[in-house]
Amino acid sequence: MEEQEKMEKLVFLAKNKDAHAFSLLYEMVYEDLYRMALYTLGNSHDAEDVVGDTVLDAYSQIGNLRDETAFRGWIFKILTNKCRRKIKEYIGQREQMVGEFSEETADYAGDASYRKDEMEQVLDRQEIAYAFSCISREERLLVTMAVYGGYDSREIARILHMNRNTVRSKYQRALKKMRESLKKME
Amino acid sequence: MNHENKRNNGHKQRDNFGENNWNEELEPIFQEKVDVPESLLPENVEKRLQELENKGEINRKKTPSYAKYAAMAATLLLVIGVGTSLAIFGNFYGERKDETYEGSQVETEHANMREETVEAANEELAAVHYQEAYEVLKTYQSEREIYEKDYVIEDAESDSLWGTVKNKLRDFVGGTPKYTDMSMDETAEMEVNESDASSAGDTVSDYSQTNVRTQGVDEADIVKTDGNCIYEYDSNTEYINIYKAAGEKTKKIGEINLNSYEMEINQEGIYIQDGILVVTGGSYPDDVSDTYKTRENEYIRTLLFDVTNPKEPQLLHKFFQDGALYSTRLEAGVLYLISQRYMDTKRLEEEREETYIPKVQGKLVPEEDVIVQKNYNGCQYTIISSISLKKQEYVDRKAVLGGTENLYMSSQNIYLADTDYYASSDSLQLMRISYKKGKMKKEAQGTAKGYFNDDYSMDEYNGYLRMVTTYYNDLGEQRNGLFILDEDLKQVGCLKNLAKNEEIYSARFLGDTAYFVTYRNTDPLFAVDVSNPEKPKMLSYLKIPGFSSYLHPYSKDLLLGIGLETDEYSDILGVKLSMFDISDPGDVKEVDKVVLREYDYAEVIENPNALFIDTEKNRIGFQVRDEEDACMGDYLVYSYNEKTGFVEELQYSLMEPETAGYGIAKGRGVYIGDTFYVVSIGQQIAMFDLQTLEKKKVYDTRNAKIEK
Repeated sequence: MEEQEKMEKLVFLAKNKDAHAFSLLYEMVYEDLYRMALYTLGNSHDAEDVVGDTVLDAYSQIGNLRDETAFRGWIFKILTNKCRRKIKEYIGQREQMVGEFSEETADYAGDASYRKDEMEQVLDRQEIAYAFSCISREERLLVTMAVYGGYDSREIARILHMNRNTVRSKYQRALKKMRESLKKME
Repeated sequence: MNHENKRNNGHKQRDNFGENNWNEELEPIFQEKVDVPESLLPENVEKRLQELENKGEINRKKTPSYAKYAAMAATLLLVIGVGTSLAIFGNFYGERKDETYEGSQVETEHANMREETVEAANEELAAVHYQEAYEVLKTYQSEREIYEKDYVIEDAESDSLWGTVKNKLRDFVGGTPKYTDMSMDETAEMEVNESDASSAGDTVSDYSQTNVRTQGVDEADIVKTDGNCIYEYDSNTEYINIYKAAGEKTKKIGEINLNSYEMEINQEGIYIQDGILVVTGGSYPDDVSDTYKTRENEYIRTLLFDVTNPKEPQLLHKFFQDGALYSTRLEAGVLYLISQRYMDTKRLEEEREETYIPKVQGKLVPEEDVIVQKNYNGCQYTIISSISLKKQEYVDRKAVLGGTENLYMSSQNIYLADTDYYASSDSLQLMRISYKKGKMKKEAQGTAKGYFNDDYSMDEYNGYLRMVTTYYNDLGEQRNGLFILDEDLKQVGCLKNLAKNEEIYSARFLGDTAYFVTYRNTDPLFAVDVSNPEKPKMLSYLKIPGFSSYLHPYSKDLLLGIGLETDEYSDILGVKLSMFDISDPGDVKEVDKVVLREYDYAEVIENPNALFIDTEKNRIGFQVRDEEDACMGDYLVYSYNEKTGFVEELQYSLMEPETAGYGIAKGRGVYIGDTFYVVSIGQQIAMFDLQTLEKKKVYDTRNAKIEK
């Protein structure tokens, strides 16, 4: 497999402090990395930060990557963790403002308009941004993990500590909501 | 989707979550070009990394060596003074800051442990010594890689030595001791109360039990009954509410306020057995936003309450053990607690066993009870303890150095299944631990392919373990297989390459025949003859829309399926009940089906405990709701007969407009004697005649006061 061999070679070089080799690996995934961060977090500033941190961590820790063909999955794991932390931060901040709300309720009930504005301002009402703004944070993370991160339902269930059936049904419902929000835009 | 995911040595096909054409409308949008900020463009990333590299600012060692820590500790001693240094020392090495053991207590415990160890030296050691555990963890540490567990990614400041020290001091000073409530003083005097005649007198012997995987092995649930009272765990208020179940005279007679116990109560629920109520939960994190720090400081707690007088529950005993709660079981009066703990391998020290051996009730798990999973490459322990409810003491404990992704408890064995995420094929590790009245013993370890959907995908029968898994073949393509293993967990028979690109959604083993459902956008129900463990044979394959996520034998010839109906785009059409005629497993037929289009969710789909089923009384009860409308939910009861198929016997609305925003509460159905109770947690209990399902009364529990 040519592609795989190429990847193995690049990882090997990157482990040996070859920044150029690493950037070639990065080039294969960077758009999806950024998209995942952007649509999960809802603003380009935090997305840029989070991806930047991910790149730095990945470059410095690539020595620990055992399976060289798993670069993509591995760097997405780093990003996913950072996105989750960021979301928890958001919720923590908002909890101070909003008071006693469960994560789901806060996300869903009181806050949709706040998120939408934030999204829309920054992203100039791109359809995708609008569609993403109509689902909850948890749903956004779930969808971006599947679509950009390439995780399957079982991996997502493990990472988010959810039942796998829940992951599947939440995912389907989230996509349904996105589709409907896009219809509304027409 | 043109993502390529490398897994093992091949390409992994994307799991479309069972959908087929979902992406037609969304795909172009998902692939829309985005303006990636300048700093993230590959050429600029390269420049930046090269710059940092040249300046020597790339920190490849995230973890200072022990030598550095030791030196740091010595400095602290000087700076802070001997009195407090011990405490800081403790924190420093990753122990819980709440371990405020009195010196003498610790010594006694260690002495006891040594005695046990000496006593057990002559026992057959299927277990492995502390040293081997240490070696495994040490290897893990030196091969450390970024893992999908919670991971501390230290910021630039704390990368430095002083940054780390600062954080440790901050933790110590700011943290609150967590174990202080574990003192036994207040519980020492409690005895099991003499039962109060008026409340105990009318216990009925015919009442429903939780729907569980293995007959005789109870599982925690949010509603339980002992035939006399109904016990409800309300996670919104963190109360256990106790109602005297007396048909129309049902009323609240007692409660337990769990709020003062400072723990996250296990959402799975509670147990009630012989007048003892069991509550398990996890330690309450200090800082809610910090839940991603490594979890080595977590522990689970179990509270036993004496409810022989339900009007006045009494705390009997508290138990605790390391780790985050995984699951619990109750069998023959013995409680089994399973927790998982990640060890912080940065802090390994050979001379200090608590850095690599977990604790139960504050005591290190004895050497003979530590089991190291073969070929294990991680840092997670699965800790199982057994507690006798009657004696309120531990019977046994085991610490398995290995993760647990699935757990199946048969009437005789506990099976732990762990998938090694980074290994090549055959990456499913299985362990069999026999149990009897609390005593446990590791019996076998083996490997298999793939991963399980849930514990219904495994079944023990006549000394064999039958199972269905979803796995990836050598080309990275998703397949499913049925495997049969012997007592030593060696494979004796299999049926592979089934249901390309689908996943197991439900399974049920009924004696000599295995039924399982895979799904992508239609639901094939497979029937396999497993009477000969070495030669499982495919019998039939029924393709129907939607999927069943739970299968339950209804009679000798009938198999009930509960799940969702979907269309060709995998959109959910409704909750579905199916009845399959399995009189001839070679020709399985769906003889009736009900699609409930008003609902798209039922808790039962994810959690079989939520199902009320009594095949003798011919009653199937469960709650349904419409996810779009948080206030819309009903409790339904069905019966089935050959002539008319499914018959709706009850549709009871649980709609509660006043609680909008929180949505419909979870619901359970239980019967006691002639009355069927629909318990909507924290909202109401509705009573029906079990036969006619005629509504008798509704008791509003939202603001129910205790009535004497």
